[in-house]
Amino acid sequence: MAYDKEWRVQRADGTVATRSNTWSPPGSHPVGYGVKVITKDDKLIRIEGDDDNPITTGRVNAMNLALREYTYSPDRVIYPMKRAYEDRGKMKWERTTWDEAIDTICTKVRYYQETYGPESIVCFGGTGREACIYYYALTFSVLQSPNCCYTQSGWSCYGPRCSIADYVLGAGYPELDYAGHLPGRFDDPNYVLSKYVVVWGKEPLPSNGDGFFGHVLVDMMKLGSKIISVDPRITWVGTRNGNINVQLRPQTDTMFAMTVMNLMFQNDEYDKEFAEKWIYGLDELKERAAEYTVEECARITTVDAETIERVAHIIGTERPIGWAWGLAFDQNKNGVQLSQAMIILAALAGSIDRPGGLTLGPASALLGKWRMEQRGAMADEVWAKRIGAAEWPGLSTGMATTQPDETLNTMESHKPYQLRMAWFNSSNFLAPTCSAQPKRWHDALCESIEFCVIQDLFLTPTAMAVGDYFLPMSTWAEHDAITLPHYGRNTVFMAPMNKALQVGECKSDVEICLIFGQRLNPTWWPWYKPAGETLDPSTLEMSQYAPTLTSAEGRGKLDLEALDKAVDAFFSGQLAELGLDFNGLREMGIYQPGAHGFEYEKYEKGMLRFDGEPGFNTITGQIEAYSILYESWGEDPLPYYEEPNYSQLSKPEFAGQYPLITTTGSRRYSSFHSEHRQVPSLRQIDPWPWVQINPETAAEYGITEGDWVEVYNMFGEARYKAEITYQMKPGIINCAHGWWFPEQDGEEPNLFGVWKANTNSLIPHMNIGKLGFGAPYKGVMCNMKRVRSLDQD
Amino acid sequence: MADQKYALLVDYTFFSGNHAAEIACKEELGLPLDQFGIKEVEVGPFKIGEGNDGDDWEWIYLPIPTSIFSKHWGTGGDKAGQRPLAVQVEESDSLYYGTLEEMEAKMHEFDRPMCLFVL
Repeated sequence: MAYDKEWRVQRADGTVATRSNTWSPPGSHPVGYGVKVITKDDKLIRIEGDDDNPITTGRVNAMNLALREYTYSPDRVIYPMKRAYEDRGKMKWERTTWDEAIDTICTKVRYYQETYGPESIVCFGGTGREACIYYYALTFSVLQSPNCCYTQSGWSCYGPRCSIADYVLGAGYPELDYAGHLPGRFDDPNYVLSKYVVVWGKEPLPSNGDGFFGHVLVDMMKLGSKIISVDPRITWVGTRNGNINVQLRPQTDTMFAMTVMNLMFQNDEYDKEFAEKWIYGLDELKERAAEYTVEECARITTVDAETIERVAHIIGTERPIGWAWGLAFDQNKNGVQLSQAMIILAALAGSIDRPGGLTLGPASALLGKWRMEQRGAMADEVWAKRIGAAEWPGLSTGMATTQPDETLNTMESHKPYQLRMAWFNSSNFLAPTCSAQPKRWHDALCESIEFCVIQDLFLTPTAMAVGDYFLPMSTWAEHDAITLPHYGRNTVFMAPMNKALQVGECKSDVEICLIFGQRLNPTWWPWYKPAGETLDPSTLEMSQYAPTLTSAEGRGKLDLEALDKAVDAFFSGQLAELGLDFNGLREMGIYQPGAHGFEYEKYEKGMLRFDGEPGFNTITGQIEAYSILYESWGEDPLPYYEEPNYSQLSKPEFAGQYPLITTTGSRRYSSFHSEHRQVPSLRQIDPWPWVQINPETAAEYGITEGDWVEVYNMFGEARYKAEITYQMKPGIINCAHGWWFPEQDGEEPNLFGVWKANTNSLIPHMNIGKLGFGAPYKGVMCNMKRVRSLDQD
Repeated sequence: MADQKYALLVDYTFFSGNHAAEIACKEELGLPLDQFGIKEVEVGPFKIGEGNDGDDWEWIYLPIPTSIFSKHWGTGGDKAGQRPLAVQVEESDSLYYGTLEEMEAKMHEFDRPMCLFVL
């Protein structure tokens, strides 16, 4: 082992180096960059890389390197704060104590539970963060509400891919095999380097989606892998020699997938042995695929026929083929079919759970399994009140959350009931991070929500608009926790976050759960035992929801020492099934399944199904090209292409008015969603929201580099600075997301300028697929015009 | 070896323009916002061929070490010979630092264009 047990070392210069792994906040997905946090006298000096980490090998991204600036930003909130309901929208926050905040919030929670039912409380969670583990638990077993909500229309981020993998493949998230799980990495004798990697609707170098360290693509290219980049944009990866670009019109990916499939069948270029043994509905699939001709595909996708044929031949004949599938699978009304088709293509290419292809894990494991089990804290009749669950079984079977669009409808209509209390767990969704039509969400929140708790680090536009209590969060360097790629859906590795410093009175996600869980539902939250607590939960009378602890009498104050012990006990309990405790994980440095019995081809070995039989954990035991579940939910069981609703082809009557298509959601190295806008060295990299435009299109509009541009359509408008680039095809533009301006006035109605460059105002509400998944964030028709500035027409 | 020369070698086929080296220098040297130890420049993307494959495109990022970088890591610098944080953290693992002789030898290990900055 390259790691030694000493995870904290005093250096000769008086500083302390604490080995750790990054996650959030600030967000960067659970990449788990191996780092050393350098501190002196409990102050963060800088972040360094950890050479011993077998995956990141010392490398760290810009956002985490800038953690010092983020940590000590004058805008950061480091003490609990409160604001009177009538002062919402005003900068009239005042400092309070944790004890007061806990008492008041718990009293409110009990009030809403008992007066209107626990379903009157909704918890909103942000994406890609550590909170993704805890906001489910916070909702289900702390607040005991069934309404856990990620607000993106059609749940268009990662959840669809996971659900479709669960339904069609009977496994957790299929991840590109980059040898992350193997201690020997690329040199491990069990590993075979991907000959080609299909990087599809994903730009992993800046985005690092869901635990995938994007720069492993560079490592693989250096070793000889070639990339097939399927993307409406030309990407830097796509422009390396030997790589192929499939630059398709946004949202036409399923047409491309079906046509490639057809060519593989026609040319007899696929893994027949695997297909015949493991694909359910192969004959029906061949018949369906035959409807998709190269000529039609070229017309619809605008990719030339020769490229389509060349890619099909490579996928059909070269081995191994790796796959990195991204956000574009989710942000598409036709995305359910796209994910199904991609899984089938990977199966036809012999990539499933084979070296250099895709690795598989269970649908949920470890902390990811624990978070799902928290729903057991509610009675069935409460769980049955989950918003949109009955209407959208194709979503609510795979996801434990509400259907996002229905949640807005409920807030607007109060049907079937009014949502009255909200808890934001690291979500700033009024900024264009996820929700479509965020002004509607804003108005509905202001009207419907009577009491609102915000858990965050900065006063965001969302906090300014609706927050009543603000609970300050710690960064990943300020707390103990576990980094878990894919939230337990494919544990390529697992690593500890080790607390290196304390800032103000900030707390972590798990600490906040432990504190409020102990008060509100101690049966499910037994770990935290504050000194001075004279109430014994086991002897308390049960209220309808949990032991009644609403009285402050006999209760101890916030006990930080007991809280530290509770965190350790909680994580040690989570690790027990691996024969580890939290300190053991710390000393180990990183847990890689390859050192503990990981095997490829688990479907051959009875390692995927609960019954221990060979096969996949689907109804048929096979990969369902013909989905039994889709059929039961009224969806076509086979994949198909559908033209997006807001394109020039489907709405020719609007083609003259809105001749362009915009995509959005791509990331840069300088920010994660709406975060980091107040970090000077990162803001310097991308100081303003940008729109990427092809030179030919820009010339048609008289737009030059750096001009301010308003992009608009039938749903809304947003402003950006023009970036003229050949990355885009003529007629296709790409708008930045996540923008607000912390330097501007934070009060209503400006809210830090959150409506000025709000990309999601261009996206329709509830234009989603039949299963409730997928909205067209990555492709809507629009137009643009030059304006004088962000604020002047 | 007071006159020992040092160099920064860049494998610029794979240097991805990820800004980590820029931030690392600012952090390690405590530089003000407007100063850089390393600053990236971008060339492209533009078409050089008829098709749309990687070979038909040019797109390069190059990290430029400034005089601030040379002052610390060049001949006689207070950090001469010590690996810069920028070299450790750069995400595409495409920067190398050492004596000029070491970097010249390193450069010959590659069969692709390289960029050698003598500090």
